[in-house]
Amino acid sequence: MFKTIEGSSLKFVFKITVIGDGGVGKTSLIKKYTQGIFEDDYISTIGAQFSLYDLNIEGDECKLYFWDIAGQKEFEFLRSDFYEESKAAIIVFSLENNDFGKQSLEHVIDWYNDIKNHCGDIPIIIFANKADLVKEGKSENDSIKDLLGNDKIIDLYHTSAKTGKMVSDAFYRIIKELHDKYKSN
Amino acid sequence: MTLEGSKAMEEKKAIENYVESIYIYDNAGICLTSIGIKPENLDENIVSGFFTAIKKFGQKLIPGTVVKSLIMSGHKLFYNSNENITFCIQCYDDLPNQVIEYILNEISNKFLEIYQDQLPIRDGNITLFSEFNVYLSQFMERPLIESLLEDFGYKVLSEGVILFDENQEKIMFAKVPEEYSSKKQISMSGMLINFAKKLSLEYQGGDVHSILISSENRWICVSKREYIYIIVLFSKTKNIALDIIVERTEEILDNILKMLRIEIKK
Repeated sequence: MFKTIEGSSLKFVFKITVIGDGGVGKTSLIKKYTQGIFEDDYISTIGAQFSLYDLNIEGDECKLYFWDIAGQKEFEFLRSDFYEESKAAIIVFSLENNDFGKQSLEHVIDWYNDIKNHCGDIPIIIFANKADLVKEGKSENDSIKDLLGNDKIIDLYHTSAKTGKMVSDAFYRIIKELHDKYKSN
Repeated sequence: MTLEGSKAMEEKKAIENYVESIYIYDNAGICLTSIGIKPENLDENIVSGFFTAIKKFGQKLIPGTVVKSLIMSGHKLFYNSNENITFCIQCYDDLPNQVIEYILNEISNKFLEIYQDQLPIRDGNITLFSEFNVYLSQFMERPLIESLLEDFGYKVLSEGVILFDENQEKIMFAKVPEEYSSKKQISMSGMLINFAKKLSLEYQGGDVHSILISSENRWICVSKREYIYIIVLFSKTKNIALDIIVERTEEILDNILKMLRIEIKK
């Protein structure tokens, strides 16, 4: 039973859009967080996938409703419609030290602009994923540093869906942000 | 009358006999409330998320269109969107579409009457919608045929509606002053239909579906399918389009027969 303010339980459902280039590990991150599992095989998301995670924050029942949106170009035509009414966004890129990783990092700014154009000023968090593949302390490029100066980017986390590194912390950070924001409304 | 037909009639026809589940969700795909049968371990938001994605995909596929229904083998899903909220019914495929529309309208009107000022949901807080489940539960418990007839009677400005099963000699529904719903009165309607059939055959008119009587004080419309009659009374003082009355009366009777799974002999 959930504890409530003034005796009645509050029930929140937050839609969180998860975006980033195809193959950066969006689905794996969500799976790791919501189910605690990691699968080595890569299966491309078709259109969108939905996942839920129940969490009790300060006595309120919070349901996180992840819209894991396919990053491939083929799904671009649907993407903006799937963003509708998102309360927050997670942009994922890959830390892999190759062309794919570099490109996914360069595209963060495009994803940021895309979400901003369609959802306005919603809180955004950046996940630098596949941290298990690189040495500690890898620094981001200038475009990310510029983004981090933006007050809508609430943080950047180096995550690994494979090892689970920082995954829970990163997700919890955005959930807490949403709960605090809307609880005070 | 077949044994199955008789059993079907005896069965209490509550809405849950026909409707499997109802979902109410917003444009984000967030389920505000739901009721009914759901697969185990399947959260209502996953269902509403997929429905929302299908809706959005449909709009991209054929711009300017809306997905109104999904037909599956033995089941169907019907949608009704209003004020950025979608009302969805999952039901058996023999439930007539007009009946589904009636249910969707009833539910959406009630929901918007209560929550219109709170929509759209900007803060993710869906606490207040839990209360609507009480209404949905009560709605699911209501005998659907009675509700339909009551709604029909109200919409066509009738003074009364009677639904009668000739084989069982049983009034299935009566919303008329008591003095107008005796077995004698209803049997006379049956005799009239039979007589009209004979008359129609004389003039090569074929089968008789309905009879409309214009009397000094009332219009009396009697329709019959197989062994089910519907008798509708209207006051002469009201301005009523007669063709519409007959059409609507036959329409509701046909829907009820479908719901009772009574097949009309060709």
